[in-house]
Order: sequence, then structure tokens, then C-alpha cells
Amino acid sequence: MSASVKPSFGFESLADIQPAPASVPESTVQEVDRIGERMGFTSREVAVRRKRRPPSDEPSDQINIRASITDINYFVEWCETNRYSYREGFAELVKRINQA
Amino acid sequence: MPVVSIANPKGGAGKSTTALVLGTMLAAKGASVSIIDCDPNQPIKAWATGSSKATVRVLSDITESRIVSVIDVERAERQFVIVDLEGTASRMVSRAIARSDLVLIPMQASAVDAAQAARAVGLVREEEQVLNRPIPVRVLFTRTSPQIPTRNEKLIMDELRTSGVPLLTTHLNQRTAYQSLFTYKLTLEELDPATVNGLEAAVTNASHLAGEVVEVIRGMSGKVAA
Repeated sequence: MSASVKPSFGFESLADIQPAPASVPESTVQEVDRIGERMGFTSREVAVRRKRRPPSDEPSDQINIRASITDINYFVEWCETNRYSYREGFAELVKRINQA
Repeated sequence: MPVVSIANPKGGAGKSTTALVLGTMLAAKGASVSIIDCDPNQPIKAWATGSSKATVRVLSDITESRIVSVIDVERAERQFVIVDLEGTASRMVSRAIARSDLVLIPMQASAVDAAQAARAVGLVREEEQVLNRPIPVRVLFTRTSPQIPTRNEKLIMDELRTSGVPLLTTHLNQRTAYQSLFTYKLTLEELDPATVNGLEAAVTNASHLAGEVVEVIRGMSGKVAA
């Protein structure tokens, strides 16, 4: 090939190709999954049962507290509002000791 | 913007090599490129741990539930998004194809590769029906000899043409340089010609491939050309 004749690979300018958001709605995913499954393109990911509470390997113990009814009621209501068990509520309070 | 998925349910067809060659070549020409590595072996993630100065953004550890949103985020930010899919028939593959503007199907000239490539083409055709939009497909022959096409290649090419499956004119040839990309974790331009045989020919081949893919993208629809 002569040195004066340079081949062109179609890259003169790539400026006409620009980023753009998708024009296809994401709602079509389920239909695509149905087609995929019919053709043998099934999920290869193992489904992992999600645990409601993270398991803890740390040993546990009990603490008995004689507290005022007002404080106990306040604590119980706070746990119910936040859907904490007493154990989780206590852990949350402990976590906040150094944040205060 | 164009999302180019590289799919063939058969492993070893040359998907990751195609993705890396294409992505790094487009980046070398000044384009912003993301490669989404969906191969469980994560070859492009491993490549990205090297010292290459390439501007390619590599995303990895993608799950089936995240693939659609990851593609959509990237296409809004980058000129080219290349999705290197796993070598299995999976939901990840079908979801990625649904978000693609072009599907490249690399295959070696073997009956086994051809059978799996046909599966991928079949899936794309079905998804076109569901999505009510064309999803262009191009078959890319990989690891071919740069000199003479084999009898197998000719037979398979004839059948593809008869079936109306479009082929890229450019093949990704068998080149040591393409293996060296993964060995040295560099781009073709960064490899040392003194240690890698046939580097210049590989660069030319890769340029032809990227140029042809850009041509296909430009020709797909008026949507791409602003």
C-alpha cells in the first residue's frame, strides 16, 4: 500500500453519536423474561431467602431493669413506632450513646 | 448512546475479546466508552486492574436485577456502551438484549458455535416481536485466519446468508496480540511491538472492525445521527 493513500476506517468524527436516555420503557422486562424463559434463557442466579433481621453471631445475655412506667411506656411506644424488637431498640439506643 | 451487546450462549466464542477490542479501539478514537462485564469470570474487570491509560469505564459485578438500570444509566452518559454477556443462555442475556441497539454475535466457524449463535438470533427475533422495535443483529466471525477462509467458514457463511442473518464483513482474526491484551492488561496501542507479534496487523483489523460497527450504528436509524 502506498504511504500517501491512508485507509479510512469510518472514524472521521464520532461526534454524531452522543449519549441519550433509553427510549424503551423498563416495564417491558417481565415480557422479555417470559420470552427468554420459553427459549431456555432462564435465571442462573440462586435465589437467596432474605432474612428479616440480620443474624448475629455475638453471644447474648439478659439485663433486668427496674425503671419508671413512664420510661418503659416511652421505650415500648418508640420500639413499636420503629418496628424494633426490644433487643433491637436497646441496640439502637446504645449505638446513639456516642452520637449524642 | 448505542448499546452494543455481545452475545453467544456458547463460551469461548470470542465475546470478551470482541468487547475489549471494540471498546478500547473506540476509546482510542476519542469516544466515551463503557464496558459492562457480565461474564462470571470477569475478564474485563481483571483487565482493568492493569496499568492501561485507556479511558474506558469498566463496570462489573452486575446482577440480573441490576443489568437494565446499569445499561440505562450508562447510555445516558456515554457515547458507546458495550455489554460483554456471559456464555450461557440466561435471563441476564435476554434482559440485556432488550435494552440493546445492536447485538453482535461472535462465533468461530464451527457447528457448535453456529448452533448457539442461532439460539441468540432466535431470542433477538422473539424480543423484537414483544418490544415492537427492530434489534439489529450482526454475526462476527472470530479467530479466523487472515489469509484463506476455511471450508467450514464458507459453509456456515452460506447458511447464514440463506437464513437472512447479516454478517459483518470484517472478521476478528486469530492474532497473538488479542491474547496479549489480557496478558499485559493494556490496549493494542500500548502493547510493545518488540514483544507481541503481528501487532500492526491486529491494530488494522481492530480498526476495521470498530469502523464497520460504527457504520452499522450510523445506518441503523436516524435516531442516532443528531
